[in-house]
Amino acid sequence: MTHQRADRFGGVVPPAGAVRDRLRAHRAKPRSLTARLADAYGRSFNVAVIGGIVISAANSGLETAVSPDYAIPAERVELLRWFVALAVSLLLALLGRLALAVGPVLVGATWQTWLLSTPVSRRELLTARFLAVLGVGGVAALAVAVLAVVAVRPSDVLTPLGPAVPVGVVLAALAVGVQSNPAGARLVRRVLDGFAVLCAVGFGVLALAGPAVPAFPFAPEPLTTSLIALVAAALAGWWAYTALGRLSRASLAAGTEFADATVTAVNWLDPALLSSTLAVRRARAVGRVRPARLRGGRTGGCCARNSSATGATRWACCCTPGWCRCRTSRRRRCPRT
Amino acid sequence: MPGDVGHSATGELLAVRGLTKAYGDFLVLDDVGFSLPAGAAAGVVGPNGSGKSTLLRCVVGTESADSGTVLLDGVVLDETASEVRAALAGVLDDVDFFTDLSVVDHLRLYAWAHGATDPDDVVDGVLAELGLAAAADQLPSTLSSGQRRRLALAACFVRPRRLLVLDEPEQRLDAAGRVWLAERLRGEKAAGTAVLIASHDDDLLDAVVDMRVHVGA
Repeated sequence: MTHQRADRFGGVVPPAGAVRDRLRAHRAKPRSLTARLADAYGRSFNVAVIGGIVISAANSGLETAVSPDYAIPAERVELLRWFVALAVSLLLALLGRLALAVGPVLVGATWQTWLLSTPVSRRELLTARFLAVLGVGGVAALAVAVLAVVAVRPSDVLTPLGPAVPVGVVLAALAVGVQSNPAGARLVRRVLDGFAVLCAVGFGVLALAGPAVPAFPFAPEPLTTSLIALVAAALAGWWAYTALGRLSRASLAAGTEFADATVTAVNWLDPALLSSTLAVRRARAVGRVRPARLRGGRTGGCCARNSSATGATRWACCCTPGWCRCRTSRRRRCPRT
Repeated sequence: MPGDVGHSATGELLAVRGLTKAYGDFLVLDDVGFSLPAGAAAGVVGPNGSGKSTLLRCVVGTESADSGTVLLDGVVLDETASEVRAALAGVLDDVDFFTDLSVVDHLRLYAWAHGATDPDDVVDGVLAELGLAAAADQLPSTLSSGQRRRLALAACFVRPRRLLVLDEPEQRLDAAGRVWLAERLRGEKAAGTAVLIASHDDDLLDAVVDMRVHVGA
């Protein structure tokens, strides 16, 4: 039976591109126009909601920046530069932290089950998602740079905008590379947390120093900076690409739940939808807690007083069933036991 | 080199040594160790919440242990190596299906991606064996939970395997399905496949396993 099995599976493992093509061909058969329209609607909805938020924010920022009333007092220009540099650093660190929380390369359970468990090249299977991550990194960094331009209004906008996309690509690629090493990812998360705290301290220092801050020391030449950033992006991108094959299923699945919850929360403009996922992640990290004891006497432990808007007294039962059976009532007090 | 699948000098196909896993300060697996030769079966037993599924996830690499090692053929099991993925088949609690791919297309794609020389032939045989032939053209969402379970199990049998890892495979199977499962797993052992199975079904364990690994005791 072993030999028979070996013969039956002695074929060549197909390349990832062929697997994707075959998957597409299989899926094309039962897909009706209605199903395709439904998919297109779902994607358009995501793009419209997220794009709308970004455009709205950019629009209000630009309106402020081009307003004739908006002028930066000369004595505060240096302070603003320091402030924006710190804010950009903090934003990038938080984006990096977010990227490591969700993956940044992530794969749903379906792909995990039917594609990633096969001997097909994992690197090739993940290449499209990797490129998408790099793209998101570049766009996110560009958005941060635009915000910085809006805030500072430098004479040469190419200085922050030129290297923005490659810098974003570098950061995204580094996040992917780090994802392939769980111990390294934990270390980088701690470093980013520490950096965020340092930024917060920096804001405090700036607030105390006021306009008396020293001149902002960095005035990079846009072309040179952009070229360096491009080279760094190419190197980091290649390094991360070689690490794709080492991404474990554990690391690829870790952020799926979080990412799904984030998309839902953004679509519904309701951060509360994300909070339960965050609470579950936090609970898993904590593991177990010491049970809380009820304090006070039996009546005190049993009932909680809550004054309503009408001034009537409410009593809510929160006791162990069996020895106190009062129900929430406007007029009834908990019986003494 | 991690992931290189050769042959262990000790004859063990799978060896788990000092596996420890905790969520915060809640210890789920504490220094778990066992070994499993080819053609043998081990049953992971323990009450609910004892860490059976966690142990299996650590073995197949979908969850990382805090410490300890899992060896396949004497080499650290690295799930990212294609040789390991070709050798290790499993059905855990994370199985999901493409919503717009039929039963038979799922299995054909999977068999072909594993290098099956004739995926149609392999898949037709397994579908018939599992009683899924009549549902071959159905989309997974139209299947009953028992049929979906059978589809997940079918995926293990349309591909090469040297180690089979199953998390409560008897769940949602009817009586006939459980009898079939026991017979199939005995056949797997006879073919040289090592089987690691977590289950609460003593009849299944009695029929299949050669040793029991107690967790959470």
